[in-house]
Amino acid sequence: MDILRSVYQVAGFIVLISLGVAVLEGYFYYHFKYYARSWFFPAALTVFPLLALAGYYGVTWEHPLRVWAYFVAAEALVCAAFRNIVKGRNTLPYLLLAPAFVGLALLLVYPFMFEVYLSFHDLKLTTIMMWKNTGHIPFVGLRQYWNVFTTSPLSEVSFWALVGRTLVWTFSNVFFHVLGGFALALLLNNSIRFKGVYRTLLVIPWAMPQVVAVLAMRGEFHATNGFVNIVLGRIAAAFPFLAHLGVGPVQWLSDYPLLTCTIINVWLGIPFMMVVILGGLQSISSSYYDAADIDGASYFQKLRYITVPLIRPVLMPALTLGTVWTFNNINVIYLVTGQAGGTEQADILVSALYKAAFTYNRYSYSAAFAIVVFAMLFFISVFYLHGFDAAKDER
Amino acid sequence: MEKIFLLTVLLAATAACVRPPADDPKHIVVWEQEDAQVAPYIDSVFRAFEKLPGNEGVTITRTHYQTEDLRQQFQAASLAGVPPDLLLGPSDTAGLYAISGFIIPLDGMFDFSKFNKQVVDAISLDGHIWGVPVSNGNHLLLFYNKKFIKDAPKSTGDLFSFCDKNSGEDKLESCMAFDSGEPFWLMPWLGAFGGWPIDGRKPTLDTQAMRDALNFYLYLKYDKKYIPMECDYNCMDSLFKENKTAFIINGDWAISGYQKQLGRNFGIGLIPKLSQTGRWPTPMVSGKYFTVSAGVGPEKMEIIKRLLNFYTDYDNQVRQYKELTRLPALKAAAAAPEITSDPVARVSMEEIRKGRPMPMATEMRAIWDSARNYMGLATTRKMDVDTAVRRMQANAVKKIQEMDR
Repeated sequence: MDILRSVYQVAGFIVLISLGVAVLEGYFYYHFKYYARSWFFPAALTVFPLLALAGYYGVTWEHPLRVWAYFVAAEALVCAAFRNIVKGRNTLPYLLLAPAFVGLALLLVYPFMFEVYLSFHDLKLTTIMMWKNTGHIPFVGLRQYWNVFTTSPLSEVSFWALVGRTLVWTFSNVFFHVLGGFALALLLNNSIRFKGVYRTLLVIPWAMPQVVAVLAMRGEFHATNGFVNIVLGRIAAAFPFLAHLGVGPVQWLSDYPLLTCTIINVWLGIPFMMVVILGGLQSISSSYYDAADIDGASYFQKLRYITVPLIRPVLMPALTLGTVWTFNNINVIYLVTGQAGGTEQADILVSALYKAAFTYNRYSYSAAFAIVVFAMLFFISVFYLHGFDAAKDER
Repeated sequence: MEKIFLLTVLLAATAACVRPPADDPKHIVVWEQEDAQVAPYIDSVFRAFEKLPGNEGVTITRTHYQTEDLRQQFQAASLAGVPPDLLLGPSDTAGLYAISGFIIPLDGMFDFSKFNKQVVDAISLDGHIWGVPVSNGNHLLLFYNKKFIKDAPKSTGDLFSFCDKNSGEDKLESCMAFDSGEPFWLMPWLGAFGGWPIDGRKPTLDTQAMRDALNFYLYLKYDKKYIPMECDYNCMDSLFKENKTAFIINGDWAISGYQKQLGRNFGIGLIPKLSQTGRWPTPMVSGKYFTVSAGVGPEKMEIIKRLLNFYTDYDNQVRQYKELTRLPALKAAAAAPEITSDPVARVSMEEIRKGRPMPMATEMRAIWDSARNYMGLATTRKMDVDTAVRRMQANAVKKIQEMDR
């Protein structure tokens, strides 16, 4: 019976989505067809908001005037866009893309706008019920942004120190991801036996669930029973002069938590870069290398003047993605240090943000914090892409 | 195209005219975050309640969530105006819901004098009681391996003499193990030194007791090397299960696991009395509770009252112990022969009596966070104890203030 109920629920959901898509398509179809008629604008402003309000009423059993005003405003915007921008062109492509656009707007644009709204208000534990009962949250202007820059969710680390640590964490990780990925891709790009097997083995850290991979590696850094310390201990025992130089077991999680996280994340991130770069390397025509060989170019000259420039179009988006992912990587930090009741030595911006939102329930402050993090990532990405365009222009 | 659109709009308009079903007072929705093996027991009590005379037409739906999901989903559902009627969970998140206004105080609706005082105190905030206790515990105990020692040490003096004889090369990897990074494990010792992390709603971390407790950790870790240098929950658990340590301090949730793992060698005892002060350690005690969502109507509340009284009656509390090894919150059931005749339950109940209720105030979030950080710095010798304790207090106060900004 449970299975039947599940099937029924899934089928109902699919029907609901289909109905939604049909309504959207019909709505846009009318706009495409009649946007230029003089009667359409007043008719659309009357009919569509009323229909939308009826749907809202059906779901919530409420029909506030405020919601109707929103629907009218939205309809006016849509009509204006059709009259002045779309002008009935590209009907089919727009109709096909419309559901995806609306879906994206609901899933991405609305939450983002709400995040911006929250960041200018004061939503926290003591105001959350007021928000529910009255729909009102106190407006505080830029105060939350001021708080982001002047206070820190952490105890001993200021916001700016946290920014510096996050940048060091991000760029050191990405640097080693690219370096390791590039080296392995170069090795795999040669005609060697069992290449497929090596490739599969090297991709495993990336392919397995991150939680499993991180927790397994965390165990290897355990002070007493971890593989790393066992090896260090044996090396120090076999070569006493190294022990005198300070080589030996280390309390990784207590004394070097950020370094431990970095090593684990480098291990996790190399396969992705390797796969991307390998794809780029395999797309380079061998005729370039043949010509370089005829000209007597050395291995490093070929690397510098052929390989690196030609994989740049593949590498730059991967680099941008890698930077964004690493900047926002809370999983590794949390799984390696958070569980162990760790101190704040390995916290980065997003783990501090998590603490502000879910330990201290400072929702508006966290929203402002998230917007600031978003702005940083936006500028880093623009900087990368700008660099990529500049390099393209040079060529 | 136009016909399809008109048909769809017609369907949507028809749907809009269908009034959504009003909240059925006889249908109770319960959300919980229990382990999978607990679900059949909960369901069996609910089904038994539905069959009681006078409960014709009453239905109870149970939905399971992971701990963190339950918190987020409950907050979201409460804001959306569609919360479940009842929540079954620990007391630590109840403070959050109480401050937010998502749950209602239950004073005067139930007879709380029939429950153990500690378990009721752990769900009390600002003079109100916010939940009905269904089990008692969630407290730390001493487990030992009878392969190494026959009886539990009564005092830290006894414990240390055993450790002196049995630690070191070719013997135990460490004499005892506990999660030395989590402040929850520090609380029994803090209590034994005469301290407690909160007084009402004010953090009380900058005390001599906290200094003594942290120095005690340093003594165990660096001076005597009785505990591992770096050990979290999984580490201590593995050491004990693999016979690499004689003692572990862990919660009552681990009892059945260790019983299965160690078999005849399983031993359980009170956390030993601190010889230095002559006081017993005071683990934090809480339990599992039913809390009631704000907005439950009077008719439904009557059914909920009957349900919770049934769930916590003598027979069900004893059955809960038999099936889940969870100690009852009901005083009468705690004195039942089934429980007092069981040595494990007896020790666990004794430890509860020595413990103190886990504070439910939301300020505890800042206290845990601050204590965890500075305790970590002090016990890894990155900061001296005196500075760590002063900053622990100052930071907790600051974070509590920031929570309101």
